[in-house]
Amino acid sequence: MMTLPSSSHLISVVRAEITETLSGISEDPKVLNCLAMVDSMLASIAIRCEHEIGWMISETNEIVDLAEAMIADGRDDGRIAAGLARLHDRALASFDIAAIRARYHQASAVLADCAELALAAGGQIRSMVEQALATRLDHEREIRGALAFVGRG
Amino acid sequence: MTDDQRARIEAYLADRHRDVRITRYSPISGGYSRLMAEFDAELDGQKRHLVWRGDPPAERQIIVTSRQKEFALLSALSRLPGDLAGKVLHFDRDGSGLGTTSMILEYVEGDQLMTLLKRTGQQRWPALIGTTCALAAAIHATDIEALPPELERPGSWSDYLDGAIDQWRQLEREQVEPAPLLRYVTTWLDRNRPPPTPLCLVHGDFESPNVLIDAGRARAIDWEFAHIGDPREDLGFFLALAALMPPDPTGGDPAELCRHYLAHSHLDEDGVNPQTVGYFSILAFGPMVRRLSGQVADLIAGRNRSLQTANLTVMVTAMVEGWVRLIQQLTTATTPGGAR
Repeated sequence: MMTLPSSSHLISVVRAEITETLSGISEDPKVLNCLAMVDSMLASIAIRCEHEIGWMISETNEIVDLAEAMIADGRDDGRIAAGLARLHDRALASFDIAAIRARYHQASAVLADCAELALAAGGQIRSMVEQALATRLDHEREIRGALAFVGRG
Repeated sequence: MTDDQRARIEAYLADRHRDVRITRYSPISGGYSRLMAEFDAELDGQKRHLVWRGDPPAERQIIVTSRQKEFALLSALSRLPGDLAGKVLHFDRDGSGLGTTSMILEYVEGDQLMTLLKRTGQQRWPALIGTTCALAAAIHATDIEALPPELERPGSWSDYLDGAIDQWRQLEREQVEPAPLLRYVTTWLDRNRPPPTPLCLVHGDFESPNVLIDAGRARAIDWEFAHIGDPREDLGFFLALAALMPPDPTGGDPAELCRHYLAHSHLDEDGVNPQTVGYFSILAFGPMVRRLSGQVADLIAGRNRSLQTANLTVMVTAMVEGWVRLIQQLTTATTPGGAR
């Protein structure tokens, strides 16, 4: 399987070509907005190509640790343990992105329950959950990059 | 499309007026939701500056709202004193005349607040905030008994807030994947309810591109999200959008906006302050993001092919980050010693 140039590299070539070949061909705001949106989308797709799988796996592991800590601290009303059990039952059958994403979704459901319970608990538990949420926000911020509100007044 | 639509509008107006001629026609770009054009026309021997505002095809709609409701509201507002919005002339309910469900409105003259903020020095910004807050207060002072039945009346402020928070619960349930950040925000909204204020007309999309200022007087456009609700929604929405899409005339200081608003409103500082307005900077987005999420679900299912929708999926993450940051700021501000 050919791995180089990487997907993100190829996308950067496409972006450069679009910019160089198509810039200046029209002053129609609709066309300019469209090109800006295409470029924004390609930029975020390139970041996802590079990091998406690794981020989903590392976040899933972080959520498992958090959930176990909340159960040990007596903060669970049963939902976290049940979600964790479902997650443990679903070992990765393959490294295809669909399989990793499905497990990540299960971990996200556990994190949602953790977030709800942590706001009532406060203190250290709340800080731990907010750290896990901050990790997710960091990844989303990297995907957005310098994205602007393209096409808005 | 442009020439076709121009001809369609001309024919539609010709059925309703004498001596109709469109002398200039220009599509309006920007904005995420509607098809729009502004044009000069001669109608019944008078020169008019008008706007056509219609629904895009279903598969390209980012946010679905009701033109019927918008038309009914604008018609009611035009009968009330205050001149808060442009007058509406015609409504083509089924699109048989204008090609799509559409309205023809008077063009609201003036400069967008966003344009003025970019064009003027910061020393003029307090005056612009004052004018904007005077408009917000005037909208909120509208007699809700005079508004059309299309605008749903909550039974009480508590019912209204329960409904608004439920929008967030439904937003989370409707996501195409589990959304822990939304659960966090929704739980916080439910646990940190502000004191009530009287229900009123809320513009619902009160942001600087939708505020037009002409000779020191402001009017609002794009009323498609208007509803009966809490006046702090518009203030919170304004602050949140200003932070997302600068320039922010408050310089990130919500107290500045509250001070100007209170100068024009019958409400007091217990109701309108940085903490309560901060709460509504989050709450106000529930219905709008729900509509957007529906379009994202349609995109994933192949029913929507809009590039704007695809682009907005990424932008929503910026809004979520803003809400989470704000919650953490408000929590620190309201906890003695900043501890949680």
